[in-house]
Amino acid sequence: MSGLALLIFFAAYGIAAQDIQLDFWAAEETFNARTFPTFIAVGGAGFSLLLLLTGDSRSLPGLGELDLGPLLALVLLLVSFTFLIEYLGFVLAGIGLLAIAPVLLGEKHWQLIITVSIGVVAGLYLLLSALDVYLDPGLLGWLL
Amino acid sequence: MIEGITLGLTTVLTLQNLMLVLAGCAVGTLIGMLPGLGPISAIALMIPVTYGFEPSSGMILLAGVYYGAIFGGSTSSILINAPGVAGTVATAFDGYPMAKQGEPGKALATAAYASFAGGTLAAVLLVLSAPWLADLALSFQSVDYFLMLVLGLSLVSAFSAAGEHIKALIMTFLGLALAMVGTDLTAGVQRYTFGRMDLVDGISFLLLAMGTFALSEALMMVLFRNRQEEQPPIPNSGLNLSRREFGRIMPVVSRSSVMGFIVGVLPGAGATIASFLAYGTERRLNRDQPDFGNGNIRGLAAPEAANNAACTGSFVPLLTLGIPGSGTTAVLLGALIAYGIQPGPRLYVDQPEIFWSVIVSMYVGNLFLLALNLPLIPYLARLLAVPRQFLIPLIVFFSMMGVYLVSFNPFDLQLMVLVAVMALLLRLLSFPMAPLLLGFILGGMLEDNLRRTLTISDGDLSYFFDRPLTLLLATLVVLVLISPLLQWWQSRGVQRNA
Repeated sequence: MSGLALLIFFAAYGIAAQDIQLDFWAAEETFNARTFPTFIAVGGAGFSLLLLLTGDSRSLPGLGELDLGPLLALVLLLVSFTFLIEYLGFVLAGIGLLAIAPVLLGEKHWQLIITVSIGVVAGLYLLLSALDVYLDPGLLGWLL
Repeated sequence: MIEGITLGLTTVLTLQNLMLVLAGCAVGTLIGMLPGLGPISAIALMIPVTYGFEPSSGMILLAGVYYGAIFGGSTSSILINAPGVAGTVATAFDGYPMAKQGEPGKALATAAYASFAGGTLAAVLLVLSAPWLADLALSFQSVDYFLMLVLGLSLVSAFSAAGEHIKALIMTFLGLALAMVGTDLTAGVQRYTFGRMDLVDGISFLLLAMGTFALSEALMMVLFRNRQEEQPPIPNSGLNLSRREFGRIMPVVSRSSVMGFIVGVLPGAGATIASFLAYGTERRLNRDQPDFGNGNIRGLAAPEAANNAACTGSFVPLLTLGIPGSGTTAVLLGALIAYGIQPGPRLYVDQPEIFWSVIVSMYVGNLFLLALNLPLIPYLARLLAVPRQFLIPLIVFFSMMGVYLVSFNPFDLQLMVLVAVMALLLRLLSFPMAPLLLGFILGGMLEDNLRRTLTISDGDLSYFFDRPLTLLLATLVVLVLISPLLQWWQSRGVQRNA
């Protein structure tokens, strides 16, 4: 199954390589912007086919073995974080991430969660400020 | 050479750089101790911090992180039988039984002394071999480089776990494919950007390293959260070895260090193969000792000396040829490129202070690890008891921040989450991640050298094997590439006969 998915990926990659824009004289050159991507597509597809033919003994573990609920919740939190950081800035978004993620993973001690989240973000803020690394305050920070 | 060492010492022995080695070793040890997080994650997490320093200082910090992470990995191997990285798996064979038998302090001390001796001997070998190889490499042509890069990438798959050769090759091609995203600077055209401005400069290697290692490892921890966790034995005493014990490990350490260094120099082999090879050799040489595998001090010293020596050895191709031999040195290469430095033979000639300061910092790093980490082990070991519900968010937070603080582009974070989820799926299907990173880092170099070769030869493919060196390299590449096919054919024959 993984071999087939990868074969499709490399085939699509190869097709997309032929869509790379070339100057009219570049098309006649021995090596142009399409050459190496085409090699990669052919090589990748070849080995994916080999994987498909030789058979991959590994399959994904059964759903029962995996803790899927917290994983999905954490991924959702990360996606939200990636969209919100632009607006909330490093400090607020960081505290939010570090406060919500432990809850999703089953932590119930609120005082500990708040101490860790604020402590870590404040510590990193101080370290980066001392190293003169720019920190984006976010849209909210600029407005305030 | 003496001048070079003096230059390296002058660069490293400043208060700032000594503090950086110290900080690197401490942070590397802390991160490397966390199960699943190895030197690649540790270095990737620290790269943004190094942007505030001179390149030589940045590399000194990262070299300290590298050694610290390897040492930290050994600690988790010994105390909870959970190797942080593949390179310290063999450490657990005798280290963990020693800890279980009530000697965790002695086991950690043995690991520290063996690592120090391995690192020291390898640093001497590095000093002797690197300038010679750098001089030799100055005469290499594009075609030699191209074939060496292909050989390095092929060897990564050849040295991967049994049954995973094809998967490693596919991951290498996937890494190469991702390296093509962005603008082709020679032709001035965009490739695979899908009209997005965020992709015009390509995918950041830091994003890929964090996504495939640190973040996907954190997601993996969530997925298998319900597995039983073992509480580490805290070593409060017994951190010294007797004279007799030193006598027992000295010959082992010497043999294993030389072996580890040689294996480390080979592209793709690295610390894992070195440690298994050293352990296997000692086991064969000590057949009369029944406690091998049950807490034998020699069985612990051998892989520790070898893996540290291999780490130093892996710097030889990186510094002299600009070719990383492992995932970790690939990340270091990425860091050097980010500083605006192209490693290779010219580095030795044009920027000797970086070349020599990295070499000297390796030795200083080993010294610091021994002098500081050993007394701090009882405290550092407590980190292994940090609950997963806090550890995972911290890894996630630091990896996301590491990427965001470089670009301040939320798109990079979104791409990183996507990469981490894909990496998680691939890891569950036993696809190795290091070849992907290596392919990604070397993709640009590979294309440039192939372009130059084909342009010079006007497309004549005989250029790839018309000199003895190119013929040798081309033959090795073919042999390495067809070896998985031959193994599969052989295993099919065995199955049929059975």
